[in-house]
Amino acid sequence: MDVRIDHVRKEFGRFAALDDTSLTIHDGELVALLGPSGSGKTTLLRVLAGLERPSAGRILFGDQDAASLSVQERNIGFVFQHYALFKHMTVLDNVAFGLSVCPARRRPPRAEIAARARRLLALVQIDGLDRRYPDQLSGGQRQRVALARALATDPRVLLLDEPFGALDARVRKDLRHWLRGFHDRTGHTTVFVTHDQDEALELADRVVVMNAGRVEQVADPDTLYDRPASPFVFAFIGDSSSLPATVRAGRLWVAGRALGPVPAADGPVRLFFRPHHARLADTGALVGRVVASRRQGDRRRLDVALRPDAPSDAPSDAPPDAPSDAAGPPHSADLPRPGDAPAASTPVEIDVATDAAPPVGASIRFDITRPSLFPAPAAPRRPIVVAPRPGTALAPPGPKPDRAHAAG
Amino acid sequence: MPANPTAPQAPPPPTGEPPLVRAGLIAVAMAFLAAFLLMPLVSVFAEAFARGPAAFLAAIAEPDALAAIRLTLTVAAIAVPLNIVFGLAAAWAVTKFEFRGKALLVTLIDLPFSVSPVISGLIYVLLFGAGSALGPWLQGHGLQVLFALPGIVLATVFVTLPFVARELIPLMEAQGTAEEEAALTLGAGGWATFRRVTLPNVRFALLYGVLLCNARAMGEFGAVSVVSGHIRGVTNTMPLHVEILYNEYNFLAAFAVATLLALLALVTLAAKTALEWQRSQRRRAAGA
Ligand SMILES: Nc1ncnc2c1ncn2[C@@H]1O[C@H](COP(=O)(O)OP(=O)(O)OP(=O)(O)O)[C@@H](O)[C@H]1O
Ligand SMILES: [Mg+2]
Repeated sequence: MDVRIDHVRKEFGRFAALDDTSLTIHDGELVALLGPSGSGKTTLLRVLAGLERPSAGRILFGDQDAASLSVQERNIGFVFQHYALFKHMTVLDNVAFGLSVCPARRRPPRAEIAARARRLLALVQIDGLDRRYPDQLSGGQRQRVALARALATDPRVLLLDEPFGALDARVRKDLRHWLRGFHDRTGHTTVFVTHDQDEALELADRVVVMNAGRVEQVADPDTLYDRPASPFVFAFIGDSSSLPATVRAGRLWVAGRALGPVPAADGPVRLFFRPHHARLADTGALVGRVVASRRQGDRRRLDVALRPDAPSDAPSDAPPDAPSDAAGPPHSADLPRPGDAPAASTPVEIDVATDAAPPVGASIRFDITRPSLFPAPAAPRRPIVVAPRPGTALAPPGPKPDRAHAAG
Repeated sequence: MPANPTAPQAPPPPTGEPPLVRAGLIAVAMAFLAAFLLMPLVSVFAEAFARGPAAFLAAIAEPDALAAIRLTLTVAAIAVPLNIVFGLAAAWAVTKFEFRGKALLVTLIDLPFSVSPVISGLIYVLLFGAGSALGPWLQGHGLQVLFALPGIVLATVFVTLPFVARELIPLMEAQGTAEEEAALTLGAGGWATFRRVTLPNVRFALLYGVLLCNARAMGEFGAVSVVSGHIRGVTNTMPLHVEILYNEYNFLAAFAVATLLALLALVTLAAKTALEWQRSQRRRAAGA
């Protein structure tokens, strides 16, 4: 059964925690909701579970409108951010709770309930702790009890709110593998919330990136990492640097230097690139000074302050009408110019091989092998507040990415 | 070469005060308990049994005393359940819902604590007395509120109103609604959620509130004194009866009835301790 979230909006007072969110979760899928703190992940799960009523829009379970379903009727398994185990019940009673409160005609006999609860505890691999109370368990054990409890009623959809949030890195990793294996075995439609991108990318079939109450991008992990749909996603997933840049006559200009031809319309843009998409080269188009250098796995990561004032040997492919001392197109005020503070002072991150790493203070030249361009940020992003009159049309969604990839 | 002459001393516990200070604090607390709690209690019992158990029993079996005991138990049996219902409803409303007038409700719950019990009694005299608007109507229908059981119950309910609610509200506020929400997602209805999740979570606070409420309901003097009319054997509760006996210089009987009140307090304390002990035992057995 698919779950469809159709233009859902959720307001708390005048604040919109969810703003026109649409998403389809396919049957049997493992979907991650990823986003910074306060982006509305928990709110979306709660709306799905029926714990919050959407202010606008609707949710469909299959083709049934969820508005007509109470929390109980939705048959959802919910694992809460802080587990919310019943403190006064033993582990076994916690897991058995869902079965023991079914209507009498559907309720299995007592012995059967206990047996099923034990089977679930074995499934999540914490048998033998039946008679403990929640506060006598470790965080990882509590997490598993919460999962077993949510599974007891055989839910149609499993919702997990930062299931591994409170755990240390090692247990997290174990549980992550366990959850993936568990999902592959049982095939529950599962939505889990995380603000750990590694977790989302490693675990999920598809990742939903949320920001400020909106869905920024829904994609499989590869697409999300390789082709982010918005500057936010680019900056949020993986490491990246960004620079103000300009497209003029089909060429990309950064800090007064031409990088290469790009299939994009003329105008100011923002250039994003990942640290490993930079390459040191004696003829590199970009010039900078190494201000910091640190070890990252098998490479070194350099912080490079770009130097906009070009040395005399400017790239030979610079267009004659854009001399390097006045590269910025004259028609826009917020474009980078030689000596502009942002380009000069905000260091960018690039990765280099450890044996070839230049020392701190060295001047280097490098190329960007895979730049991604997005429209330059105009006004600061509209804060999401409710329109004064309810029912008035919402402002159009944020700027659509106008992405272009260029080989360097 | 002077070697260290003193034997190595055990270092003081890192967070502890010097032993002298600790002993002093314990002594002060104990002295206060003995002087203000234990001694009066012992002297009440001593006085009651001064002329032997037979005289004690006779004083209690006296008809007026029996009537006072019966009345006190009746009042408590009505007031305490009402208080539980009100306390649960108020605590639930205040902690689980947002509504207009919530702050006012919280303030009002405390009202009985902030007015003198005598005033609480007088309120009902003003409401139901002969000079009040309701008075003649009640009289016409043969309904006796003042100087009768209803008046005493009303005054007691008023005075004891905050006990259960006051115990529950902070606890339920701290616990939040997470467990209730979990129960809902597991398919539990409203009543099952209340009975299986909310109530067990607050049961000790509830019990504590009930004990306090019960002690006050049985021991209330001021408010009840105003509405009771002091009709011997009819509208005298135990505290009122003790006072009458005392004023008549019948010390033995006065202390005998007082002993019963003190005993009630001790029994409730014991019950509470036993419950807590049982709980901790159960948890220990469950632990690894
Ligand atoms: N009951 C509420 N009343 C008012 N505002 C709320 C309420 N619940 C959530 N919000 C607001 O809605 C926004 C989204 O909250 P939500 O809990 O969904 O964030 P989240 O993405 O789960 O964050 P986190 O990663 O920190 O858990 C936050 O700004 C939060 O302050
Ligand atoms: Mg959250």
